[in-house]
Amino acid sequence: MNHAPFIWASYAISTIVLLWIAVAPLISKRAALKNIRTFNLARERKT
Amino acid sequence: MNPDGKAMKTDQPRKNPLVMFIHKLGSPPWFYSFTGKFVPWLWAVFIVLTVWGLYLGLFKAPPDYLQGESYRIMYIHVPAAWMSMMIYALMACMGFIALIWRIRTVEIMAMNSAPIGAAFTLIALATGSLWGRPTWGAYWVWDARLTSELVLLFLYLGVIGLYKAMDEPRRAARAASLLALVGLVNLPIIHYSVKWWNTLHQGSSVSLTGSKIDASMLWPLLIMAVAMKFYYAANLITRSRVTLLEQDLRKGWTRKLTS
Repeated sequence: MNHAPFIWASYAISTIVLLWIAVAPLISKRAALKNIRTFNLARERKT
Repeated sequence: MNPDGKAMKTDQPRKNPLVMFIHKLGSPPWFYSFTGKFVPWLWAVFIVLTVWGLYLGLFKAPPDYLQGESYRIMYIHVPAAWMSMMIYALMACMGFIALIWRIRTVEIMAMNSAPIGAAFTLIALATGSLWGRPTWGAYWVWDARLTSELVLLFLYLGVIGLYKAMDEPRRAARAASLLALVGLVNLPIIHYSVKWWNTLHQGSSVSLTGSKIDASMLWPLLIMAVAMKFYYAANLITRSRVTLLEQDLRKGWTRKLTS
């Protein structure tokens, strides 16, 4: 039996999962900073 | 000093530096700025160790006399399985601290450990399944080790679900921490499952007292295990800092960050 597909599939799945778990908070951070800026602008306009 | 140049005696007890440090970590602005310095270094060490460990494991280590090349799945499967259990134990510890001392940054770190732990559990199960096919002839068997690891994944999902289900994050974190503490009972079951029951899954090859694996195969495994710890630390800090930003949207310290 050729073992290569099992080995590469294992590393491919792991890479995708670890990348997604690492990138997701960076996307959330951009959204959070944008929300803070919007909130600050709205407050400045009020005052 | 008093006007005579002599040191004045105070009644205040000396504060322990460790206690002071823990108190500081409880402050969101301090936590955010302090941990921000470490994150790039943690990611850098993780990348260097992973490249080194994978190079040794995939290209340098010899094939196994029994399993051939398929054993190379071990270099991701075993560290992921260790991490799935270690993260759960840490999450429960942080949950305990959050329940007793109500430190918000610790609550946030406990809750942010759950998705990372779930990811490692998923990797351990998926890679174990892919390793099982050439070794046992089946992708999945209802073996005690595999089943208890699957229960661990459900526990992680339960903690994540419970935390997301409530509107008030602090109340949600306390409820989810309680669930995490109850789920601790599963960890010794996972660890001892290969001893307590007749399982298809092999027993431990590496322990604190020694190893049954040859050094040429063992070192890449240990390097990968350390690399995954750096991944967890970097990811946990990154996630916790983002959660602090999200929760403190209207507070002064976040305003200063964007101004």
